[in-house]
Amino acid sequence: MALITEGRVFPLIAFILAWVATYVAVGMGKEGKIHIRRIPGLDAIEEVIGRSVEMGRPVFDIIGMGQFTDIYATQTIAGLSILSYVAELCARLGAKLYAPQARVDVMPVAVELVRDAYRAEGKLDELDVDEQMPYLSGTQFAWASGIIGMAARMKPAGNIMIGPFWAESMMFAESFDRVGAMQVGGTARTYQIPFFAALCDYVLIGEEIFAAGAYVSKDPQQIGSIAAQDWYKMAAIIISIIGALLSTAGINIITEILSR
Amino acid sequence: MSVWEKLTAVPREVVMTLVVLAMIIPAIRPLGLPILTGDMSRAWYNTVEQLPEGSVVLFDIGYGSGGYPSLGPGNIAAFHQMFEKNLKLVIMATALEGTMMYPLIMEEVKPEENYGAVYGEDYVFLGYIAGEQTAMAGVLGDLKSLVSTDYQGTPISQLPLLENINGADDFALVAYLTTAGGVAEGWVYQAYSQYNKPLLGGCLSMMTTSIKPYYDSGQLLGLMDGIKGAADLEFLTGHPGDAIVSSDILSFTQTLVLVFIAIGNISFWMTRKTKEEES
Amino acid sequence: MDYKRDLPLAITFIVGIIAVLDYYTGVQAITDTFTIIKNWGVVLQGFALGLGAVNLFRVHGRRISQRREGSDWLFSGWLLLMLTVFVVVGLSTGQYDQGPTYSWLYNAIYLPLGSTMYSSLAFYMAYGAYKVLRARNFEAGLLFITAILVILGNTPVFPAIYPGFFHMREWIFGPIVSGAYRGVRIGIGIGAVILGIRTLLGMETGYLGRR
Repeated sequence: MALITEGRVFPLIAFILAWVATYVAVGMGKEGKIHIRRIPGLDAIEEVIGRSVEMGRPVFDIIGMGQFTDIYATQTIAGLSILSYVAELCARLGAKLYAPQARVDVMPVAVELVRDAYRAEGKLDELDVDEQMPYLSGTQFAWASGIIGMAARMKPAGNIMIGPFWAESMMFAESFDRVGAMQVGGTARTYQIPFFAALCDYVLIGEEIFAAGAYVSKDPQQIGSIAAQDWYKMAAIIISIIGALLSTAGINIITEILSR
Repeated sequence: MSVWEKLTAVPREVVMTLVVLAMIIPAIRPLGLPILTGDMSRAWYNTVEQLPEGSVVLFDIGYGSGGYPSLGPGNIAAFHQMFEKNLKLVIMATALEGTMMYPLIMEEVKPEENYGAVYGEDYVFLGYIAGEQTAMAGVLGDLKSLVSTDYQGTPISQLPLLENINGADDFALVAYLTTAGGVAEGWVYQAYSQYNKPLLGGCLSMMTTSIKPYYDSGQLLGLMDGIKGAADLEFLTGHPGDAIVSSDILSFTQTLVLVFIAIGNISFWMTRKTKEEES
Repeated sequence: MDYKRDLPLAITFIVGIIAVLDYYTGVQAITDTFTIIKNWGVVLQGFALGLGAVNLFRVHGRRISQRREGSDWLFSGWLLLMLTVFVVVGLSTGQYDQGPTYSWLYNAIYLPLGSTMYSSLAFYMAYGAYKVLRARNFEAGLLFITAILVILGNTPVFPAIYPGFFHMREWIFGPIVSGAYRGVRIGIGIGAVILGIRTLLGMETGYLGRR
């Protein structure tokens, strides 16, 4: 039996190279050599929370229905990173945060990091976890109707939705738009991006959400690691172009290497 | 406020009320508007037609109550065709609520009554198998080590259909209908990439843009895209049902949407023109 | 050592490495270990579900006792009642979700509610299309034309009158949409891998709180 599973040799090499690239990029980040473009959607989060404070209305942060054990786990982690940042800003600026939960395995982590953010700002007494982070339901439309109801009753001034979303994305975007909330939406679930694009004020498209945690941390090391993502994209583009040209000429060497 | 300005911002209540009417009228009085069967559903139909009698099909009900209106009718039409062709069906669910969809579908298909099929010999239902891709890999890899009973709790050793079925090699075709992107792509990775199995997929219309590349590349031999695909299959199999009625509703509603898009744009441009002239 | 930060990072690293090795290698011991870890996950989820139920009772029990926010407490009461009814019916028959009473409850209450919620998307989409699809500038104009052609191809009656609408939709779905989607998906895949590596290396700590 082969040590490396058949068909996964090249992916393993790619994974190791990604690891190395991340290390190199982090090193360059430490030295201040990495500069990344601005992501307006993430910059707007502070504006959303500031607006909520001015209007005296709450802010919602919805991280979606992803779990730690499904293929959307990375999106859930991105959502949690943003929740942590949003909670920190809400505690600092005095906005009331609501972050309803749908997944019982993610909920304790979400609660803990919101508590941490409030504790760090010395405002733990202002957080009522049961009220502000209720578990609604693990079933899609029960969870969706719960949030729509909360939005209609509380009329939040802002809504941040970053994480994996399904058909409920349109319902959320429309319901919050209806109550006049400023919205930042972001998901790597391609089916839902158009809905966010149609109704949110700012949208994070696809992989931008994975850079979110590092971006908002403003830590040069973490920002450096985002550069590895772009190097890899460049490599993917080059391989795709070469592969397409060679395939057109009837040479399938790239396809063969990639499927090894 | 001018008429054009008013038309740029028709209240949502008005739009939604008209949408309700556009749904109700054809539902009460179906008009039987013509439909053109799409290539993707025809490919699904032809793939099943080409299977020899007695072939075993693995079928995944990967949707729940939310997806039933879109995918249920297509599921019913698909089962009609498969039972009519005397195919053997091993049915499973990658959606937790799939177990609740199974009786609803079978109530419509009535395999015993309509096709003389016998449970355990011609079809079995394994119930919900957790883990999405892990479940798919398990069923295709070593079915009997993953599942010991069917949904009713009958040991699989007592189900003649499963006697000689151990994994991917014993299935002539894998088919799924799902509302979950992970399931739709998961089957491509597990059934096609891993075992090179003929694969049919079905998903919601809004997922079609994402799943269609797998059809274009030949990884999916057929694709049922939501209620439109279901209507096509009902038409092709000769079992008209809810999807064909829904086609009228779809035609009415989407035409209304087109009208509103036109109103929105004409009024937007007229308002802009008036403002430019005024300034 | 900050155990509240370092311990979770160490666990993440070890479990992550086992998961990676399980995917790439065929070593039986690693596969077995990862299977055990996955089983732990299932057990933990079972307990976590209990946590969700406890949370529901705490939050809504409090709302009922305080009777605030207008008539919302009535909905809280209804939620807890239905939660109890479903659990009791499922457990008392010993057939869980296979019993006829449970099935009836499901088909009579839950199924229509789920379908209704899903169907309500049609209204959201119709209004969204009216509000958003406006040819304000060149880019929006391109989106507008594409959307109109796709809707014409998707509406059953139009391709039946003129099959060209259907072929236009197919063409848009092919070279244009598939090409764009593949690009987006490759980007997403790469982003997810790099985030995974950052998480394994302990650089992505947002999910642990900003410690």
